[in-house]
Amino acid sequence: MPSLTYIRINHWVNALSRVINMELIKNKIKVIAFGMVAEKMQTAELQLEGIPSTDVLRGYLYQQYPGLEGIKFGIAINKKLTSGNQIIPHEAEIALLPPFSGG
Amino acid sequence: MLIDQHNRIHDYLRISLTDSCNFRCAYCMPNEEIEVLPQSRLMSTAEIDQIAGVFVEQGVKKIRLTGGEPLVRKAFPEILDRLSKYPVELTMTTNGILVHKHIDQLKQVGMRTLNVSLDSLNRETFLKLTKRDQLDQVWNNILLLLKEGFRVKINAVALNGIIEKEILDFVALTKEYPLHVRFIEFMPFEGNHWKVDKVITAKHMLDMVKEAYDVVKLQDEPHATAKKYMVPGHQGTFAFITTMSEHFCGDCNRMRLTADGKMKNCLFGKEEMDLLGTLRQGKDILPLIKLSVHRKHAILGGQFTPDYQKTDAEKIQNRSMIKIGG
Repeated sequence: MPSLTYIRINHWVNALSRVINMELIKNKIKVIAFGMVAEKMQTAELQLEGIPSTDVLRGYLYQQYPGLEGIKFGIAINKKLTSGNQIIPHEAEIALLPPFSGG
Repeated sequence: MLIDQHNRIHDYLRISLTDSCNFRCAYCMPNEEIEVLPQSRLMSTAEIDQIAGVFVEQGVKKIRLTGGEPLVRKAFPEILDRLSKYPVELTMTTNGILVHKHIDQLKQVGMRTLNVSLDSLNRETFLKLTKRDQLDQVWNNILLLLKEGFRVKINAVALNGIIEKEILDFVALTKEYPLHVRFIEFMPFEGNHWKVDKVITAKHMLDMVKEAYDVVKLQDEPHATAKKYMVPGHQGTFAFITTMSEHFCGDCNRMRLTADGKMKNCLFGKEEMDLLGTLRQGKDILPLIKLSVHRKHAILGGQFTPDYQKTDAEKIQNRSMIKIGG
């Protein structure tokens, strides 16, 4: 018979995971692909949920869109090009940019 | 190492090879002044080599050749050859008209990037500005440079009455060509009729671009004078050099040598150190170089107020642009 402490902890863990799930579900992002990236994905626009960072986004896209294999692309969050791994904020607008020369 | 009183390391030297130019742009070469320096007053090839050598010993890592128009200097190939032996990044700013004659040597010395000055894509406007009907040749040379694998940046001075009509055309170029177009806010120099209301700011220009295009902000490198952007899906980029509306003096690393061998520690600095004269007297130029760097002002040569709109161009003491080289 589980102890009262166990029941309380379990209850708390369940509540917490519902909150976390709700938060993840809420992070809806709009992803727009340009140029060659859009061609290889055969789509120019996606709505995604629960993608917390640009590394995760890349991983997801390479997995879901085999046409992207070998294609490098830049990720802009809310019209600013990122580098390295960046957190994707709530309801961010993401652009996938084909390779371009630096400037 | 050359460090000034504001902790800025100076490792970028711009050498003007001549005050002569084959164009006649009014904001650079004011009509009043067609008197170019006699050969004897210019740094010779050997003198350029010697002076550059001193700078390189002090840590200079990048040398840009300017003018006037550097390619009108007859000794350009010899000068380039001498400088190519230093372990520095070599680059150049040119109006592009003579570049086709030098492509082989530029490749051979490892110059990867060139800046081409071009203020208009319209033939008539180009003619009015430069007094030369040569837009076609310049454009062909830009394409030639791209074909030969050079990285090409276009420097467009944002002249009011012109840039508003053409800015979208310049940005459109970046769709098809891997060009980097930089719009430079109009700056006051001796005799160039600068007025506050002639300055089209970067913010204003960016707003114009955003009306027609989606725009993404790129990351700017350290010591960069340009704030970079691109249109998603385009091959090239565009940028703004905000000398007037938002100076970038804070991490400046630049020093200038005029064609007559005077050192300027700032584009807008009124004080100049006579390196060539000193060299010709057989004296050591390094103490003068260090002094010049030491005396560098924090911002804009100490001749501007932070709010460019209060600038009184008459009060600024400086050469005309043709005599500095930018």
